[in-house]
Amino acid sequence: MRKLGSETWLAATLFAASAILAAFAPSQVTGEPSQVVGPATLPVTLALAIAALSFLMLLGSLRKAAAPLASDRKPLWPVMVFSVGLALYVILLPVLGFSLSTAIFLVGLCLLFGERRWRAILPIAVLIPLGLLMFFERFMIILLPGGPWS
Amino acid sequence: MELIFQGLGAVLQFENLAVMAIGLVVGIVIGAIPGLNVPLAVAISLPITFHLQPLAGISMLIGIYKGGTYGGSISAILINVPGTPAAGATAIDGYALTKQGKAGKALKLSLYASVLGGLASDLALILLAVPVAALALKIGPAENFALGMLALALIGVLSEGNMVKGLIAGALGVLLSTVGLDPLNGQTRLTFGSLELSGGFQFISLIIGVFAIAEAMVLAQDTAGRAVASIKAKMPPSGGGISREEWRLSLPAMLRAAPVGIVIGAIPGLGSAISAFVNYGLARNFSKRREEFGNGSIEGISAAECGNNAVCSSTFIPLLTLGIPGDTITAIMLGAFMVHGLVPGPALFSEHADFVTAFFAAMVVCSILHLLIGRIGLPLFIQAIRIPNQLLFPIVVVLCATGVYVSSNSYFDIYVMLGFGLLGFGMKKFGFPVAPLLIGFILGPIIEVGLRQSIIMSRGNLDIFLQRPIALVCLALAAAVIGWVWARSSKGRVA
Repeated sequence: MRKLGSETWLAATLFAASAILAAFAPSQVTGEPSQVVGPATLPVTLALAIAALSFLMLLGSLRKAAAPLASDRKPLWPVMVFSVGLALYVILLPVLGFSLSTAIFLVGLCLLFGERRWRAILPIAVLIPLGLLMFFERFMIILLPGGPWS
Repeated sequence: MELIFQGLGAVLQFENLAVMAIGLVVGIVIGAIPGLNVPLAVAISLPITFHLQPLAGISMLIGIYKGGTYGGSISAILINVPGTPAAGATAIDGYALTKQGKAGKALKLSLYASVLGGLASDLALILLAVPVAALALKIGPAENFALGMLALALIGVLSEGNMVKGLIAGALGVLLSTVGLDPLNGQTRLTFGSLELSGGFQFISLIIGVFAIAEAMVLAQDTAGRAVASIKAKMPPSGGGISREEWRLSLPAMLRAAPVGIVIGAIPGLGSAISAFVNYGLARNFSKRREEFGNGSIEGISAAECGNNAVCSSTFIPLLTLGIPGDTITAIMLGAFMVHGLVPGPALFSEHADFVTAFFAAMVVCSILHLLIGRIGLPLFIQAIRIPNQLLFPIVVVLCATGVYVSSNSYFDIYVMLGFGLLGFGMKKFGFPVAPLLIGFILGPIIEVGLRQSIIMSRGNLDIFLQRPIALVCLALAAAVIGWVWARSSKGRVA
């Protein structure tokens, strides 16, 4: 049996997800449907359109040889580390305040992106949070998360 | 004419000129840095403009747009890496001139051609926008729906990648715009019980996510935590001025490229990269020195750069008159207009005539400032290419998160930005174009309100779209474009 390519799996997933959305979209509208073309009409139509287009994509991908995409060979862990890091940064913002959490986040990002020179990383980790804090709080009069020191 | 002078007076105030100049510098620097792009620059700056006066905020974005469109040529000429896709055509002859020790000549020529293209496009916008807006007054909900569908079809079909993926991206964009409150009767939908989602997805979270965060994810994946060496490029800004003979060669190429670029810019879905390459090809066909193309042709650089920048202002013709964004940047600009309570469309010309004339004046003033800043700041912009991505992207990510936070004062929107970043990353990896997603999200409410109001007006009868000539033509064109590209791709598969 032929091994399915990543595009085939993607098309099948998209098809299934959009079909499920088309079925459940009407239940996700509050209130009584009052018009022929009501609030659920467009979401349902679009979900069905995406399902139909995904089906076409599925057929097209089945016709092609199941060659994996070149990008498939690249590791996904840096994207996961980046995403978890950004989520942690958002959690830390109200706890540690903008300056400290941003400095920590910047150091982590520099290392993740491949920078190893501390003489380049440290000035950025200090100057960027302070510069942004000054710009938004003094110049734009917009308060950033202050943390325990506010 | 009096209104134009009033507009000019408004633009020439210090605040507006200062933010426009900042926008130009930021745009040129970001455009010059390979890996960063103009939509990303406009997206990051958007939250800052929310807190400025409407004219100042829009002037800043105009500066970034014009500066960024030109800035891509600097790295294209100096290190053969186009900072923007549109600068790809400039790299062909620009880098050849650099190798001959004439980088300065290529850089100056690219600046003059960009400014000339920009000014021609400004003039076209001023002359054409008012008549088109007068025609657009005949547009009702049915035409709005049909125009939205046409724009979406054009952008979905003409974007890079295959047509099916472009259409899926466009449909997904419209679907995402339906989350939250129904625009007609205020019922919530697709919120899955989330209170935060009842207001819908914030536009700023979407664009920053799919552009900047997705780009950062791609870089993170590429480097995978390994130490990266800094770029050490030699960048000689020398190479002399432009001789009278070279002006004689380049001016006709620029004058031919400008109108072609203007027309391409006014058609939704085409954009500056197409204009640059079409004009490069045209210049080669018309040239008596074809052998120089690819080896440092003055005409090649002039045509590509002039055509590339001639798109800038003409993309605003469909945006200002019909409310239809022609590309990603104008889609972001549409969001900026709306945040300031300015809804593009024919009504903008009657209700905010003072703003419209000031906007026209800002376009022209920006082109003149572009020349001054481009000429004086060239040594600084050349240095921008030396900033390594591994230092630049952490700053970009922090700017994105901060920008999203200050625009809504909500941590939830930063998570939404992250979610859209993952979506944008997935779309890049699987070859889905991002522009239709963004434009679908922007056009979603216009399409939905147009469709539903039309059906209410016609008491449930879909014939309304056949009885209104503009709507019928737009829908027929949308179907024809999809059919034509479908037939062409099927033929390609068979062959």
